[in-house]
Amino acid sequence: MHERSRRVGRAGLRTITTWAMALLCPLAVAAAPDLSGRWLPVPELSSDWPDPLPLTEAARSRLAGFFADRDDPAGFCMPLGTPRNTLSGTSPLEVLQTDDRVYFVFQPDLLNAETRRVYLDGRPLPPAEKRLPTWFGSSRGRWDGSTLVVDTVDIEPQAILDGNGLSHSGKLELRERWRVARDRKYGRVLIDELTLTDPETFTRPVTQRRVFTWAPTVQFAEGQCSERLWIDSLWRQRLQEHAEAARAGHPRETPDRVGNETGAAP
Amino acid sequence: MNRRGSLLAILLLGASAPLLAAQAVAPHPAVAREMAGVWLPDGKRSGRLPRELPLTPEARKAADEYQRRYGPIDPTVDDANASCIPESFPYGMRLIAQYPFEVLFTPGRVTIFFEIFGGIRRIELDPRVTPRDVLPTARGRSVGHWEGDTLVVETTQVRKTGAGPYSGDPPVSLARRFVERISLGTDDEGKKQLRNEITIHDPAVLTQPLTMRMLYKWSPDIEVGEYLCQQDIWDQNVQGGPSSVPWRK
Repeated sequence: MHERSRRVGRAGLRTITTWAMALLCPLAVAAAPDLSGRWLPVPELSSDWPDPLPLTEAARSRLAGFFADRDDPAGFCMPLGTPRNTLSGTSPLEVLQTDDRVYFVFQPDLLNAETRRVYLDGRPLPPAEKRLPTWFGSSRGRWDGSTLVVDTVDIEPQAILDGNGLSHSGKLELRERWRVARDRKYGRVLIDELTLTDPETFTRPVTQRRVFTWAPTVQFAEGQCSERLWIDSLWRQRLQEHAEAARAGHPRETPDRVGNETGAAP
Repeated sequence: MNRRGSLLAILLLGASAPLLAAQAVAPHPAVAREMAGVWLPDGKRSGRLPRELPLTPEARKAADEYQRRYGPIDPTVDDANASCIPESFPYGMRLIAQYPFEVLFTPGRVTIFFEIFGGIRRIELDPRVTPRDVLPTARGRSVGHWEGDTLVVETTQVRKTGAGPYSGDPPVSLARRFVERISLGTDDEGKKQLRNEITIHDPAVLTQPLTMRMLYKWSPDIEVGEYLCQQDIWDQNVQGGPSSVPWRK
């Protein structure tokens, strides 16, 4: 009797295994883990900069001379750049993945979208004489087990690292380890462990961790950063007109809006 | 199968149901592999919109009124593109200037990355994942499906603001609807070609739908670059000096 139930148990296990294989096999064939989808940053699970920051003298003086209103490129509708787009911890992220590339699309609030292209096809970096710094850098990636290892170089030095003006020398090398994990509170999460190496900025490599939670129903708004500047400019013009009219003693009437956004032809 | 086995199978089936649902969208046909990659507008062979649009009498009146109030249009100030505000759809698709775009196919999705203004266009093949009641945007709401080897895309919710011969300047209506038929072909030099027949339906403004046939050259050696439209004002800030754009001085 005892022997029989063990046999049934084994047979049951075999059946279960067969079913499980049949169901999971199509997934198992896709060798690389799936990072794709829409993700939202989780500040609670992310790390902060080390305190104190291991800065070189040069980096210290760059930081001391920073005035956000004047020196933050994002205030002028320039990109956040890499790795600030990844580190910012506020931008929704969409990951698009194929066999040979992974694109990280960030949508920072009120700024234009930023796309980091990571090639996994083994293509080399451009030759030294053709390499130019870009705001998003040149990235190459490879799978290390279930972790996507991304190396990024050629990052434009004007792309500061955070809103407080921490900057790099242009020789920044970024190493990232992206993987999907499960968090008890947030469920499916995407974790990025970043290591920033730049001997002219940091006296030792600095590590950071950013965590994103899976958010398949999130819709990406369309960021048009310049529109803000354009509207500011229109307002400045309008205020100027009013001021001039007031000085001349002829208060202007605000012209009626022509057309509207809901009807057909204006 | 014994009871425990079937119970577990049911559990497994339940767990994989969302995965199965996600795969319910018809997969991309083999032609998608050939369409994926970087394309450059073929300015010489592509079509244009007619100079005179077939406007309804109401739209003609509105256009004249617009000119009377705001004309003459000064392109150095009134062209939103010059102020880094991208023209609305189908700007990136109808552009003939040599800015590339990249087409990327992932499950349920076609994504187009334009170099011009760094624009991103998301074409969902599963209409359930993109809500209908979105506010109008420059890129609009695009839903696609395959008819054989042709990708058919319908775009609505395109906003009116922006500049250009059709897509933004009055007269247009918010009810306009774009239908694209995107397919592969070969040009007269035997090279791979992407074809896009764009039809504009806007019955409140146009007496008949308009169609333009755009052609794009296969450009595997090009990468879509960064487009920093705002470099000009940033450089002014960093280096001082006047701008080439009047309103930014």
